[in-house]
Amino acid sequence: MATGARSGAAATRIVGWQHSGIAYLSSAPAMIIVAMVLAFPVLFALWQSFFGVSPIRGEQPFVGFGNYTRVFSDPQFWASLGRTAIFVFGVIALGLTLSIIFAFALNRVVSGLRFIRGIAILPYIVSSVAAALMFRTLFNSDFGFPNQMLEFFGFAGIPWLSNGNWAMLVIIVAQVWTDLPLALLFILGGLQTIDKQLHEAALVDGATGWRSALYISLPLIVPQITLATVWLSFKAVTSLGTILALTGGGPGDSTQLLTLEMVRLGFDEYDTGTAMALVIIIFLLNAGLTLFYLGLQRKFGMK
Amino acid sequence: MRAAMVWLPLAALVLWTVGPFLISLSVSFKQPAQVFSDPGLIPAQPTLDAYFRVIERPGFQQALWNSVVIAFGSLILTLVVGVPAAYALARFRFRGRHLLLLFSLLPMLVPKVGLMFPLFLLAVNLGAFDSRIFMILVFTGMLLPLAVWLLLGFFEAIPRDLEEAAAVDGATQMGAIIHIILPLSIPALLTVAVLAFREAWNEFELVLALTMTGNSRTLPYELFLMQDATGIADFPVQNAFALLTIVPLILVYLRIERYAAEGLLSGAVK
Amino acid sequence: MGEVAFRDVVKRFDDGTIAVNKLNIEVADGEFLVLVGPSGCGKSTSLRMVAGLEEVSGGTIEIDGEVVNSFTPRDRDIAMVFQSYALYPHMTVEKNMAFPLRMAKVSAAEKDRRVKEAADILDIGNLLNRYPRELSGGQRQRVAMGRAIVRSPRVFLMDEPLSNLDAKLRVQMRGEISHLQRELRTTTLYVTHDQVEAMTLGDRVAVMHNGVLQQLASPEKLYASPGTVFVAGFIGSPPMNLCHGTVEKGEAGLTVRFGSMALGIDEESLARYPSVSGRAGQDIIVGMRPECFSFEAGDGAPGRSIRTSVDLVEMLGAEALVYVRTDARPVNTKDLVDTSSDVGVSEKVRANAMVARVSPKGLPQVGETVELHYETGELHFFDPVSGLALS
Ligand SMILES: Nc1ncnc2c1ncn2[C@@H]1O[C@H](COP(=O)(O)OP(=O)(O)OP(=O)(O)O)[C@@H](O)[C@H]1O
Ligand SMILES: [Mg+2]
Repeated sequence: MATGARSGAAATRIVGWQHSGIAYLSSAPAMIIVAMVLAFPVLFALWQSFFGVSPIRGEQPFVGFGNYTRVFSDPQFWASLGRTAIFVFGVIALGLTLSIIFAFALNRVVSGLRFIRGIAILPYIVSSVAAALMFRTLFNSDFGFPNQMLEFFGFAGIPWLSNGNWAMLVIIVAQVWTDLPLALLFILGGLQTIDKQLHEAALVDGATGWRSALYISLPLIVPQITLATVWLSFKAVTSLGTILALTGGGPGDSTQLLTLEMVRLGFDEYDTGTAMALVIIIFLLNAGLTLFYLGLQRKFGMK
Repeated sequence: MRAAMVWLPLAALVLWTVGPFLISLSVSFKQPAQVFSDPGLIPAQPTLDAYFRVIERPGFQQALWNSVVIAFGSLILTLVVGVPAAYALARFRFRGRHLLLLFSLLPMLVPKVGLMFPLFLLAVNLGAFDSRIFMILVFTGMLLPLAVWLLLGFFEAIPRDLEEAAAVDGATQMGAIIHIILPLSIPALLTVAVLAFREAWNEFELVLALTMTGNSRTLPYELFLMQDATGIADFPVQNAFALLTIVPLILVYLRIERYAAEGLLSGAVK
Repeated sequence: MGEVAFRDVVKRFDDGTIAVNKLNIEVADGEFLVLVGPSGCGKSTSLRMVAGLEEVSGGTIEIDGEVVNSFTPRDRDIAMVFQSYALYPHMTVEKNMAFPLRMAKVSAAEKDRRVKEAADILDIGNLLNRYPRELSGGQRQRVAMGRAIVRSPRVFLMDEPLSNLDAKLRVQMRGEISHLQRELRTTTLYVTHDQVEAMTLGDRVAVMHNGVLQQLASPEKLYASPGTVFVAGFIGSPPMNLCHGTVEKGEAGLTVRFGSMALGIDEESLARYPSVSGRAGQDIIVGMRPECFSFEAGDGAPGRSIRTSVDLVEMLGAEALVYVRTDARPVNTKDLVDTSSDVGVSEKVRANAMVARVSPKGLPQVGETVELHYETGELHFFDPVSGLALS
């Protein structure tokens, strides 16, 4: 679809309808806005990360990589990086498992696909705070559904949000719940483009059901799985609202991820320079992870 | 057995998706004390009390108004700015076109959490802190790349013949855009409108960074503050609030699910 | 008024393709001129340059004496029927047809009147409230025509308007277009790759090949005296048999020898190509119309027939095609093959055979040796290097 965008094949050739002046004029507002709120802030953050800036102190000493060394020598940073790693890994593991299973099931639906798909997309339209509140209710240790079930079957209830490890699990589940729809759509889209004949051929060869899915479809949707991974990872690394509203980093520091650390440094301690260094580190972490997934795909993917 | 392999996961999917909504809905129809005394899914004495208490909160009313203004503002600005840009990129040949297309990749590289401080400082320096207009600009900027990308793809897919026919039928270029291109692009325009609306309506992190007072705070932030303020958690009110913020989007979204699902994919994949 | 002139028109695309090269055509007011040629020869490009849908790279296009190269389509006062019809999918038939009037800011009453009038002419009055997707192919075609005539433009441009219709409908619409044009007397430029359409519709026909105008003449003239080998191989169905030969001078006069066969060059043919007499001993391209062969002896004069064996017989009903073996060197017909011809003989058979279109009575068997007579006055000669008809 968008290949034309690169080649410019859709450019009009109608006489008198090509105006580069108007072209600049009509794209300028969009470009200015994007430059202002997306491009400029990144550069600004990069620049600020080399200064010991603080809005309350008002002085701006150049500190070079000082902020970065401060970050790297801070045990809090390494602890939150470790928690972020667990969180991201958990989100990818749970998110991919669920989206693959659900996508395969959806792909077999003959009628009513649109209806079920519509339902599956619902979490996509819920704000992170609202989702967090819903999960706070759900995982309440007194009346929450999981504990009701456990107690019904005679087990002891789990202190979901007051125990560090369980809280990590809850934020992983909540995060996956909000971001599953797109991952699911990616994989479903991949499955739907696989040639139906391929499956028929496989049926003749004796592979059936889940086996054919596993051996035939799965390798073919490696690109979509990669995309879903990139998406889930991106959202997890940069997740803030869900966790802030669900656990606020607690109990203790057990869900204090990098993003929360960044907010604490910047807004609570007014240490802007260090916060900016953390912003840049999060950017790089994201980019690095994306490259890593693409590398994995190249190494193990069939395509 | 084979059928179970399909419906079991499907049932799980529906339960996984709808379950949290149902529980939230159930709690929102109870009194705070009933939440503990009557934990069943169907409330013994359902009440709309929590909803009334939410609606009566001045903070809610103001935040709702802010959300409406900012979301519609972003939606309109996204279309007003995005449509000409997408048309220019689709139909005009001009220098720097390729560079501009690269812009559309920015959001995938730049996570929003990373923008909180830079935008906060920018807002402070521009004197635009706690301003609804600045927030409209920011949210528009967040969605514009995707919006332009979606619209561009759509414009390019409109058969060239139609625009040419309009030209020989005596339309000016503007006439062709108004009478032919835009009416045919309604699905794409709707998709973009909903995405822009959702972006602004649901945004939390940037609202946190860019607002100070109730004058510009939107619903998600108000909801976040309220859960802190209620002391012993008032679960019915919290859930009623959460659901009230979701309802408008659900209504719109179900209407255009068909376009949106495709729009999301095409926008995200390509 | 509506005179259109191409003067040395060149079209070079951004990628360097030269689609139209030094095109010179003058279309008179009210004339129906058909541009015909094989796929990719530059017909559509030429038409689109008149419409203003494509910039002109060189030369000028004039409408009523005015150079319109830099005019937007809107300022040219032309109407166009597209191959795809290009109906606006979100508008009803009525709105589609009214669109040019709306753009011209015609008053509502006048608009209604003219749309109705055009709808009556095209017999689509009952479809006015339908959307294009609710119409059949033929109905869409009519609506596209309606949208073109409603504004009474100076020139109609039509780019293969019938190619999406089935064969029967195509013949019917062909008749209607012809009728309509004669009624309205609006200058019409019509593009097709179908020579039958070209011959039946055009007052004059312009044959193009590789962006170059080959010949511009009335259909009769085009058939009777093709100006180039290309035209000869393009017009007629099946097209003319063309092969390399040599002119020989014997005691009985001039003969043309092709492979092991020879035909005497009769007076009548010689009168049309007098310079052949000066070409004794030289290579030449000879053309023979399939329909000028027959199994009945003509005047019995010597050198009026060839003997050869039959490769293939195709019965078409009213007539039959007989492919006979020849060892003459064929003219490279690769790019001469008429793509629109229904006669789908493989390249291979064509390369080693000549075809005769004969009456279906008393057909020979495959493999049989036959004597084929050729009509007098129907030999055609071309220069083997330039491809031009000899004078
Ligand atoms: N936009 C373009 N860029 C480059 N080359 C082009 C472009 N459009 C057409 N051409 C080339 O110009 C030549 C003439 O094209 P044109 O469409 O005029 O052919 P045509 O005679 O109408 O053929 P057809 O019968 O298939 O419609 C072809 O070789 C074509 O490939
Ligand atoms: Mg063409």
